[in-house]
Amino acid sequence: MKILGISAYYHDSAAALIDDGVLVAAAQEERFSRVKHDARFPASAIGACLERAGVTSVDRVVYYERPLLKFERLVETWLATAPYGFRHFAAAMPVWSRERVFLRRTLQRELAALGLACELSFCSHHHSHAASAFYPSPFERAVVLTIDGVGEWETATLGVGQGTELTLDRSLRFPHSLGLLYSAFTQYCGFRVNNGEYKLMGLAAHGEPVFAELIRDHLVDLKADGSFRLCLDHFGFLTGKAMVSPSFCELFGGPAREPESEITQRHCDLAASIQQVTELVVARMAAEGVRRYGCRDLCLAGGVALNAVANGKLVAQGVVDRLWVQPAAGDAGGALGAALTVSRSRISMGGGDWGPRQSTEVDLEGVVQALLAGEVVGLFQGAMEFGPRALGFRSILADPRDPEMQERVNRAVKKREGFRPFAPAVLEEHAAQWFELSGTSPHMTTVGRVLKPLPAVTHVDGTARVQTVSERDNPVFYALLTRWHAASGCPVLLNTSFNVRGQPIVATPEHAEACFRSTGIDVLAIHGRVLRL
Amino acid sequence: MIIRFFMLFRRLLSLSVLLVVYLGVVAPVGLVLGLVRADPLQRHFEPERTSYWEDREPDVDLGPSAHPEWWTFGLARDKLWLLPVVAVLLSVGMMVAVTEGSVWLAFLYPLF
Repeated sequence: MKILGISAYYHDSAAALIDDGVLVAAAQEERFSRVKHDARFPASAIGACLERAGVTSVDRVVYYERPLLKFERLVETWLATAPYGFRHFAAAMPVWSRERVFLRRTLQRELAALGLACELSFCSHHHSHAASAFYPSPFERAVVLTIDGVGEWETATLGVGQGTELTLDRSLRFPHSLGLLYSAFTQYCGFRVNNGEYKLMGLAAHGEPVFAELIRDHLVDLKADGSFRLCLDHFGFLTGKAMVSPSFCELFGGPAREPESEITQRHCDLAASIQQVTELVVARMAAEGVRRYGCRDLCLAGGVALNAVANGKLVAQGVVDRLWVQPAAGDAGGALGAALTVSRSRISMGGGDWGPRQSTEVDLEGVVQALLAGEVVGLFQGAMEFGPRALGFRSILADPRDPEMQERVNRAVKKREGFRPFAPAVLEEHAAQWFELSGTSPHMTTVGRVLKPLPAVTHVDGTARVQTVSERDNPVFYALLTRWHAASGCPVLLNTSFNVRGQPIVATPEHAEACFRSTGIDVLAIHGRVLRL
Repeated sequence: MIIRFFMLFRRLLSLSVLLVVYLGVVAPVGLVLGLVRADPLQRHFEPERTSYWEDREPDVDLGPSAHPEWWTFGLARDKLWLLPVVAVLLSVGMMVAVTEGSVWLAFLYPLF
């Protein structure tokens, strides 16, 4: 049976295809439409999945959310915030009445346009997240924790998976949301909600958590088991205004930072403070799961699970023994989860390369020579990654030992804020000598301490978001790293996504070449050749 | 110039219709409900509680054939009283949505 999972209409729309219980393809719409976090119906992504699987029809389509339940939340919110919520009402009502409430019809129309006429069903947002975390995990039995902004009514759920059974039996309800709390600080620090959360996490290492007490005393009532409520007086999201209210600004001593303006120590301290509170909440929630279900293995998903720093601490602090994080932990992964709620099959995410296939030929010697000469290399090989990270299929690579390299890559290509670190990719069997990690991290979902000097990929707090590369998951990248190791004595490469700031990761050879020509990348390795300008 | 005027006119019309519905339906119903029932958003701390976790309704796979339409949905979730409010909101919302898609239909507005 072929099951197509879809996420769309909120952010990061995506499609995933499962055939007879096996994952065969998954892709995000933004890579094709070139609109970052594209939320439109994922027609191109569905097309790419069908093409990769070599099929033209599916037996069932599953949408990752229950739209009516979500609309009920909106109506209840309007009623509860009356008469102050007109702004929110006026923004949401026309869109919802036009297409969202009758989503079944909208989806059927869109699917019919792709020649897909089949049964359509809906599953709950957090169940999609939970399924995307548990079914691909290596655990027979595991605690499952999902945390995000909000899905229908829920903002976090806790449950347990065993074999092919998955039950979520505890939840926290809107508007009490860790994801929205983190996003509120993201916006307050001058970054874009649903996009700048990574930046806030990167900024956190530069500050001291001096506001953490203030957050715990005034913004949240946090219980010992990780459950909490927000003090809504300090937030504006219920009525459609800014994420934070004037009283929030008063509490933290000033107005929100203007985007692109100077970042001061205060912003770093704010980031460090919310990061510390987030880590505390996640750790307490995980500990509650361990206590409740008597199991020390944990699966995580939902947008908050993309906080690799918090993830790293769960194992480092001994809250859980083993951790598995869905690499597409955000809403894109909901498409995969939706399909899995119906197939209920244990799958493998492999190297995360589930998009359209391209040539896997790489001139390894040419790439290694370029890297040895201190050049920045764009690598394009194999199938495109699913999820927000480049894992060696659409990557920009450089020598991580060169102290100048972070600035060079930033200036040449990424043009992003200097405080954000680049990530290392390391041969799996050498990972333990270079990084303090518990287990492997094939999808770059956790953070570990750097043990040897690697200035270009080490964050100010001495950590890095590590990708461990195995021959099984990514043979070409593995071969490249092996050859680089032989030539340089270092089994680590700087690995950052192949894109320009503000754009999605490249999908096709044409995108790669255009990105190569418009930036300062020295070398493009593609189709077995090494290109220079 | 004329098109721009129509766009602005249309936007103002939809906003005023939405405002009328908001003040005429949402606000009074919301204010009355606020007096007679517990806050569905639970916007207060409860220091005496040891946990805010709630038991979760199990995920029932409605299956591809079950249409979770409004009636069944309201019945299953004990929210039938919400349906009249939703019906009013949706009909007006749809009208606004339709007119936002067409300049000429905007002239329908003065009719009611």
